[in-house]
Amino acid sequence: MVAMHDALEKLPEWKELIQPFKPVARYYETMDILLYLNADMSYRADRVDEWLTLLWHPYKKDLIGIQLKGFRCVCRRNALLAGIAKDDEIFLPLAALVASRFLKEEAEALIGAASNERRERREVLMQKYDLATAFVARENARVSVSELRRAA
Amino acid sequence: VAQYFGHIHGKTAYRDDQDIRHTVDTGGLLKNATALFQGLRREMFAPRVDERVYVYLSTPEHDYVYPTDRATAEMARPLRVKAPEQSIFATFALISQRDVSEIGDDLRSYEGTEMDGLVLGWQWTHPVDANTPTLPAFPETRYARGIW
Repeated sequence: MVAMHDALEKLPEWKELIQPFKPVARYYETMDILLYLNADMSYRADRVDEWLTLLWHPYKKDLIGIQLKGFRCVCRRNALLAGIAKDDEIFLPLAALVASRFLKEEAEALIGAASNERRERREVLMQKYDLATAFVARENARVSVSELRRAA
Repeated sequence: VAQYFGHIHGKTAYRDDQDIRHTVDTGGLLKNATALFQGLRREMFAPRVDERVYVYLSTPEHDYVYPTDRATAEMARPLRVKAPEQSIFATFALISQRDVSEIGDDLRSYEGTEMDGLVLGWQWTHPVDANTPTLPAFPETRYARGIW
């Protein structure tokens, strides 16, 4: 039987591991997340809400990525995304996706909350959503139709 | 992948800054977990899967990563580095009989070892709880219930 640490040492034989890193939005089915990272490194996941997680550099206050969670459910509920997933070679800006989710789903919950709580929560959420939206816009991060198809 | 071997499986190898190879048995997830929760407060890929996810939390001192500069296979060896700041290592798994039974027959038994669960993913979760540094902040907003 091959020892696990020997198997680990052989992993570089996987071509993917020594390919140059390219920041792309990728869908991971087992965790049902769309993940975008602009750096090839470990990260600290900072939950904003049930949809958005900010990914920070392991030791610095640098935002290096985002996670969009429950991505399959969102794709299936959203007629626009479902339509796009049937189309060819379309790339959807992640910034639009993050912002539209905030406007459609978070806004409704905030309107329903009590006023003080609403104000505080709105402020914190808006800051974090702003941060995420500005980050992916700056990166010009897009999700390809092939990743949308995998999620849908 | 390096994190999986170091923190979840437990048996791993790394190269230090002198390029000397070390093998280490960290004990892995089952030995080092400091808390266990069930249920994620967010949607998953199918209905009610979120309720069945178990979350194992641990606080390793080190992290295992590949160097970012790895143009050749020789350079692509795991390194041991300090753990990310203010973070808890979280492993997400399905361990119910139902979930294990849905794993394909070819995967359920690996080299004679029966599988007890399916690891869905792992990550360093930030920030830690101010009063209980073995937990992430506001665990009640992340997980449905504590097991231990």
